[in-house]
Amino acid sequence: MQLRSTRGLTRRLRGSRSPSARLGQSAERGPVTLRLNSFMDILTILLLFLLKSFVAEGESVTPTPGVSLPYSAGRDTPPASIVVGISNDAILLGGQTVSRISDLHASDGLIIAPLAAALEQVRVQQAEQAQLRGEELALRPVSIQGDRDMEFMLLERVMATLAESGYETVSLAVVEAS
Amino acid sequence: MRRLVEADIDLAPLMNVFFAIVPMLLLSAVSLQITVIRLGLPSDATAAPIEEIHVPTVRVASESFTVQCPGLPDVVVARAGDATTQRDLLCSALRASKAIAVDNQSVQIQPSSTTRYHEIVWVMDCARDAGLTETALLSTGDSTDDSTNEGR
Repeated sequence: MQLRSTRGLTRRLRGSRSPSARLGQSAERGPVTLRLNSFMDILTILLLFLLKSFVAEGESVTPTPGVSLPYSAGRDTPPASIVVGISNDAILLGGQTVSRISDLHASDGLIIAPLAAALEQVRVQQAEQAQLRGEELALRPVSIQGDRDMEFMLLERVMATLAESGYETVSLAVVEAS
Repeated sequence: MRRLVEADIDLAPLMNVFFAIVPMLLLSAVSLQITVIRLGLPSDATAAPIEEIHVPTVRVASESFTVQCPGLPDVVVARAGDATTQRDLLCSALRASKAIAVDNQSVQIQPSSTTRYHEIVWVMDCARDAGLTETALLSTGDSTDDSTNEGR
């Protein structure tokens, strides 16, 4: 819906007078104009409120599709991080599937090789970016978005892989309990 | 001679912009507030068993939580019945262990391999309520106290 002009609306309002106006009772009052100032005030305040709430939230976290996070009383704000999602059927890195859970059950050992390889690629990219900026490589923190019903065995393997790949700053994403 | 002219600001374009922006912001607003529990994974050089004396350990089994703390009898909290009661019992056991070592802020959680993630987070919340903010998750691969990671 787009407003063409308030003038047109004013003209329509002029033409659609009430029956009492048509009878000439208020013919001397002049044209009726639509006052949009109050409405504009409401919209401006709403817009400012929404923009402020976006700024105050800091880093925006998008939940990984197919993952229902656990509830917790943890109140730390999420940092800018690499997201490792663990859903019921796959492990995702930055939204891309790197390994199927069914494949993990077949493999032995703590380290998840496809995840380690994907993390290594991320590390190489970060190293290149740091080199271009002339800075030392500082690995970004990792945020684990795990499904609330996954088993600890899986979480343990993901953590072991992260530690093995050099990512030591890790956070568990949770939904803030009310 | 200056003549006053009635100025009529056309607000329609601005309103069109607002009508576009406000729904877009409302739709993109996140209804769920996502927070994080910060952890620190030990590197190979720093991974070592925790040797602090009064660090309590919470063993999570399918039918019970067991709180073990040196100097105190083991407390077993059955995982049956009301969740609030379980939480109160677990928190009181952890507070008792905190009471004998006030400076201690660490707790070790030893889940079984099949323990659900939300149950671990729940135990972490209980420990945090009891003033134990640093969590170490113990590996399931060994029955000894091998710390695999430590939360801060």
